[in-house]
Amino acid sequence: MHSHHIADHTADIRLDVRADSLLELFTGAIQGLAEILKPGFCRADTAVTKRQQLKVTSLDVTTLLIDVLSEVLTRSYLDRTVFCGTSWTRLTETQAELTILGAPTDGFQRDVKAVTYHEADVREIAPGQWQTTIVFDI
Amino acid sequence: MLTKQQLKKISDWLWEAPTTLRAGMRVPARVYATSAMLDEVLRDRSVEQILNVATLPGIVAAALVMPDVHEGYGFPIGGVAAFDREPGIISPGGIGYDINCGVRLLRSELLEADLTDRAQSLAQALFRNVPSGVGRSGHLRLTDRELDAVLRKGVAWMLAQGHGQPEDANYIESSGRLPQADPTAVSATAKRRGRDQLGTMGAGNHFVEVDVVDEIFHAPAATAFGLRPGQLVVLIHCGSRGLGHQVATDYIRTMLKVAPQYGIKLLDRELACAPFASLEGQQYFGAMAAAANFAWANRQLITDETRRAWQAVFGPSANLSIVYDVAHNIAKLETYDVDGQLRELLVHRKGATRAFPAGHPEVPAVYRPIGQPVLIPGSMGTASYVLVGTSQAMTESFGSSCHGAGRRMSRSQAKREVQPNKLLATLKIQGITVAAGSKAGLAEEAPQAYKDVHDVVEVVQRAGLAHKVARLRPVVVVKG
Repeated sequence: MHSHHIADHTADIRLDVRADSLLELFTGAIQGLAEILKPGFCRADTAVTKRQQLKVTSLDVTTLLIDVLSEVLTRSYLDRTVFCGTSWTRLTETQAELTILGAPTDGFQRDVKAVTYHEADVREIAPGQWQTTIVFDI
Repeated sequence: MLTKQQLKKISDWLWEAPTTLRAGMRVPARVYATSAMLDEVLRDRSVEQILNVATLPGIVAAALVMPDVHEGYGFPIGGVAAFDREPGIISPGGIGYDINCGVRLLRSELLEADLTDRAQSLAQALFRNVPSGVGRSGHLRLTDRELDAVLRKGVAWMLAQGHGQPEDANYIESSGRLPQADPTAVSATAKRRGRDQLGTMGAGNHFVEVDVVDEIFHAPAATAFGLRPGQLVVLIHCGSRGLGHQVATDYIRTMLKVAPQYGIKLLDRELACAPFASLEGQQYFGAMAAAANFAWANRQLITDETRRAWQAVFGPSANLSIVYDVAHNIAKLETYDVDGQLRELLVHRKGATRAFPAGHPEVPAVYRPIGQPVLIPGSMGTASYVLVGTSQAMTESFGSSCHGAGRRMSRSQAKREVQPNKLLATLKIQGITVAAGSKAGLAEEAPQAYKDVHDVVEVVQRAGLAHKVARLRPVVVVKG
């Protein structure tokens, strides 16, 4: 289970994500990014026609999340695809291996320049309660 | 949370945070703002961020923020910091994700009266000719070899392909080319993202805008810049598009990994950096310079597209000449007098504009007796300014000035509070014609979402960092 909320930020966009596991937190963040790029796209009944494999290694779990999202953002622009789903092979605090699933789009609503490390802090605040904030440079 | 009482008032427009305010500060931090502006600045973490910048190795004299400052990532937007070549650092976060985001001003020989009945057709022609919107492709398709040539040569490559007039490069900061560019330091992914984006504006706060010279404040400088009351001019605001965003993302990630190896303790991940002299520092500098050249080439191609639109509306003899082109997200090697010694420093400007004075060898020869034009775009519906650099900026702010109005309202808040149709109607009453790809995007960029550009420019003028030359009033706004 996961949820995300797109919040106000003076110059940019802040995404708050909560989940009951680390894997769900990553999945929720990827879906949040899709919602920012193209609101409503993933809620429509769109068939998955694009798949991309990602393998990312980072210093710690917060850096890993941002690095995974940066990869998803890059692939979104290069393939003109909104990635709504994930299929996980492996997730540790420093490594992620997954397939991202999506569908092509004729355009994005937002020009997300980058996923930043600003304010990001992946934490398990209580057993089964994971959360973080992510700020996107617009 | 910092308070105003913790800062020392130097003057009515300058405040200083002493090195005692935060452990590890190597130099003080200075904030250019009025008392009222400072109250607003202290509501976000801009000043906290500049205190962090003041802890970075090799920083010289002071870490600075301009009056249009707002919270960024690592460095605040509106920040200026200069570092010694050794043992100083280079930080992608001190430049920003949109490398060489900047502004170009073109002047015409036409007056506002010439626009009558043609504003709508001009807006549509510009909207058609300059591709805009998220991820939108341009008209050029480059081979790998051609893209590398753009990254190495910048504006010169565009001119060689016939996209401009031979004299254009004379009126661009660094002539539109940083010689340190190293295309091999730019990732294949970054190149793929940029390959089809030359000549495109993008979205967000980027624009092509037609303005009228509304008021002249400094007649000799205005004359030197070829500006006169009532004249139609064009402002272009954009940067290095996906290529620059990817270069920044790639190297922040690299520097996060290597910073500890160089003994650099980061107070914020977005301050990721490496010694300028290190392998990673030099690679990023080469990649950043290449992205900067790409941005100048991009504004050059947009200039070409704008000229074609202009001639389609006003006739084949109607010309647009470049007044100047400034970068406001960049790091450059520049020489300053520090404690009586000339030192070459790496000046990071993130949301700050170079403002060199009369006599400086990097100011175009034709402007050298008067100083460098400094271009400050406001929001649509308010005004933009042309300033001129001063010698005081060389001694106080590493030859730097502000870069714009600065946001004061979130995009969501702007969308909640601004109805696009009402905004369009209000702008129409003000005599402003708009062509935009997205009404929602237009609401996000409404004038009320920004700080008052007049206040920002007034502080810069009073602080002596630049002098007002002319105010520009928008009449046609084209956005993605």
